[in-house]
Amino acid sequence: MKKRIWVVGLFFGMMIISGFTAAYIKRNYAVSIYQALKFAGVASEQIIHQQEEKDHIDLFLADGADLTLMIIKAKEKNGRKNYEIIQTSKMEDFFSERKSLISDKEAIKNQLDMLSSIEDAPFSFENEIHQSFGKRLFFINTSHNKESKNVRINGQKLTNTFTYNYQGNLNYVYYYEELKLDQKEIKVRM
Amino acid sequence: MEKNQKTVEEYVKEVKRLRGYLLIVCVLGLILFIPLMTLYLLNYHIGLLGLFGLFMLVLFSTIRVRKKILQICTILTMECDPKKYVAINLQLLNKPFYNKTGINNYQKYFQALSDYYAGDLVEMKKNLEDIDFEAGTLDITLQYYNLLGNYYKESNDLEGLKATIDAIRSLKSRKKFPRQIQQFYDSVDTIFYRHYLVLTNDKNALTKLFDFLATEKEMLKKVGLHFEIGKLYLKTATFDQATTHFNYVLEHGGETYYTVYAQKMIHQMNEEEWTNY
Repeated sequence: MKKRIWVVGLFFGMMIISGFTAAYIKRNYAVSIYQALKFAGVASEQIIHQQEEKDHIDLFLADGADLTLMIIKAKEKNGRKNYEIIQTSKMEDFFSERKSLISDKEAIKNQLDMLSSIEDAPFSFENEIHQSFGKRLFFINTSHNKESKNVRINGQKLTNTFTYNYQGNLNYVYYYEELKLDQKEIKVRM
Repeated sequence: MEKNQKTVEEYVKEVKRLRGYLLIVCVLGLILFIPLMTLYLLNYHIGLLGLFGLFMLVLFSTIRVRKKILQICTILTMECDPKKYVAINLQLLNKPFYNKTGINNYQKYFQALSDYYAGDLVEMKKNLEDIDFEAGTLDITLQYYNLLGNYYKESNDLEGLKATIDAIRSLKSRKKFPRQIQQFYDSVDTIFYRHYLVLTNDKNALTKLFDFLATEKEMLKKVGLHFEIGKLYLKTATFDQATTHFNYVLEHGGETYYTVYAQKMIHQMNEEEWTNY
């Protein structure tokens, strides 16, 4: 019995040490974005867009119709850069093959109205979005319309746009890094 | 069964070689487990592949050692050569496969086993008494009771046998035995039942011994049963039958005292008047 406890203890001990070692390597030895993605078990072929911001990097990854946004921070330690994945948000069925039945303008308005109407949301994610109104909001959308590149929300220009070919149909993706909104009125212009 | 031609030294060398491999693989596993597991956690599949390879190596080496040990067991159970079996096992009692208590206990046990099959019951009892089965494993405790039961049967000590049966059963009621030990316990229990039938002169003893014989596969146990049946026939002066069973013992009993006893009985039956029995 003692022998069995010793063996099981040794096994779990080695598992814990392996876990800590892997976490340490992830924190200190991800010398490139690709390495950070590899450590996270994400295939780098999925990257469809990469945007460097002031203090972080936005990474857009596609897997079929799903879009994953990763926020990566590069930290300098001992004269070496280390890339750490700070946040991952997955949006399911983001891309589509067909055009939406409603116009882009209406779609954006509906989406933002829906977001602004959330009050005392039980889910922390939605609550975070609600709290960000009037402050800053990361907003992303897709369209089959090329004109969507010129969209203005409350007069604000887009941060960036990029395209993604999903099953032979070009999806135009546009996003605001920090969209400032007034909860009372949302004006969308294309 | 054809007798294996390998010598004691050859068997010992083979087992030591296989155990050496197993030890190397285990040490390698201990050294490589953390790096390979870390690689796997960092999503490098080579880590998982390496862990699987190591696991297979340990499993394969363990199976090879186990197979060799089982092959050695057949020297006792099928070839009825306890001397060779004990000589091999005494040389295989090494660290790290046994601890200090284990080595002492198994040394005493194997010596007692050797004494039993040589017919030296006094020496056997002495060796058994030196076994520290309190500090030993459950396996050695059951082996101890098994030999003790045999000793009481051979000494015609019914009270001693009853006490041994009580002791082994109380052990069973206190502990839940692992599957392998449970099988061994069941076989010891059956052997004790046979001893009990013989010692109490049960009127159905002969029939029941034949029933056991019909299902028995191990040569040593078959020889033991033929030996008991021969003795029972001898008691009832059915000499032809007794001779048949003792002849079986002579033919297959190998290096056990059963053979010596059977030879003695046949010799006496041939030389003296049967009515003297």
